[in-house]
Amino acid sequence: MQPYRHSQILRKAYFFLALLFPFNFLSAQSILENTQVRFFTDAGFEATRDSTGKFFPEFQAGGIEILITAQVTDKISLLAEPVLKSNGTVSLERAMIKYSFSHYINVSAGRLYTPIGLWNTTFFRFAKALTPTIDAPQIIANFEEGGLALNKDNGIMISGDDITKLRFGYRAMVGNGYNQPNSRDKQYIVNIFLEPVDNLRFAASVSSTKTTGLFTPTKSTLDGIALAGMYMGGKEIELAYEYYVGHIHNSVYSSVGHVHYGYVGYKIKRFTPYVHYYRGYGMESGVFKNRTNATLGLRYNFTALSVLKFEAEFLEANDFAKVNQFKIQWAIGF
Amino acid sequence: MKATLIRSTICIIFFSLVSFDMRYIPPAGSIAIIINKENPVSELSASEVKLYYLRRIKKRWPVINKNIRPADLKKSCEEREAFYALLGFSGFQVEQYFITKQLQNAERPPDKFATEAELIDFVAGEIGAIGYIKASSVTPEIMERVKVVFTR
Repeated sequence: MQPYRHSQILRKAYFFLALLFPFNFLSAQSILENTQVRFFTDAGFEATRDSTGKFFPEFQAGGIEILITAQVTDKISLLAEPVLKSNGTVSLERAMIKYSFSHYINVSAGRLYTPIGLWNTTFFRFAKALTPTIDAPQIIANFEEGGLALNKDNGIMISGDDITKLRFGYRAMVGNGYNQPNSRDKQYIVNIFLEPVDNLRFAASVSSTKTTGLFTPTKSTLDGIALAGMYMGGKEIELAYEYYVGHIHNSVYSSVGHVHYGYVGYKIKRFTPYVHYYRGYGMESGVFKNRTNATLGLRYNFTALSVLKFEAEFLEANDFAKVNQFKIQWAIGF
Repeated sequence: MKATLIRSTICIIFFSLVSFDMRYIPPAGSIAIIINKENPVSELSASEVKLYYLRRIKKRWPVINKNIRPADLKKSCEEREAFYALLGFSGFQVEQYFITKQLQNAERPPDKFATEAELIDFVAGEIGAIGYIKASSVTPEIMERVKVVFTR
């Protein structure tokens, strides 16, 4: 994702204000009373040793995320998530208006996280005080961090949660996908999940989109399936596993790529040692290729929103051989 | 003489018992879960309190179809710790849980109050509210304003 130009930011701001237009009849005071604002930021240090043995130390500064949520009426809620990045640009991570018809039917519109697997809608890109690892798995990371899939999109989504005792839920989203706004092609994603016991969730999602110009001059079709299981938020153990398979086909080539990643953590009071493993392979003309990284980490929670993380990462990718990294991150929210 | 002494002893014990305040005094740290008077829910089990307060399975109250609005106390105290123990969470986990919900779904976090009186005012005025107070604070006056659906 490229940093937004000022005109783009203004256009997004006007769009968001236009969404608010139907609520003009509500007093500004009642909206303010029901509005919550939170800030998240992080800073860190990264030392990298590449395959030639050279050592590169670097200080890191995460953006400042401003999370604004408002319960406008009993059934309407709003969320806006602008991010002031350390390079001086501003981006709009999400902007959402949600109408809850009932517990089982909610409609959200705006810029939303795409409901692929579980990690993408459970953890966040900039509120790092709430993410279990320093970086998101590469496939769902932001584009500027090497991400592959579209982790957020402008569109509309219907969702429902906790249906029956097995706590089924669903998300069905139509978004612009990789297409330009004037394109008729859209991305379709359906995600179903269940939570048979507290904190244990399983999900399956399918996505499909047609796009022109991203991979070849001809029209390409991208289909994806994600399977996920997660046990997070329990007393001690934390587990997550996701598998993605993506298929790109057009008149020139057809290629398939796979990604597995797993996470295991164990809480010991405020300490959580963890292991994170990521493996991606396959695809050629649709790029992707091979990447494996294993991370050993330790997280220490000073408070609910103040976290220190240490990670040692061993990365092997086809285009830059073996790399070892050591990372420290302090993330806070208030 | 002996009979008089026995009779006197029995009388002393009897009057001591009668004059003793026989009202039930809840043990320290016991709590009462309160909801709005207009909410038709009359009773909740411990597990239902957890599910409603955390908006885990139900995000809206049955029948009235109103948003569940959890209320919390700002500062750590005996009743807050007892309530968090009922939820099965530490204070740290409760805060993380609701912030995560806010980030994921734009869900409103619990309204927080400095005093029990403020919390009771909120529950009395907000149809979807659910909160907790000390069980010993439940008086007939309080019962006129809010509904107690669970005590422990």
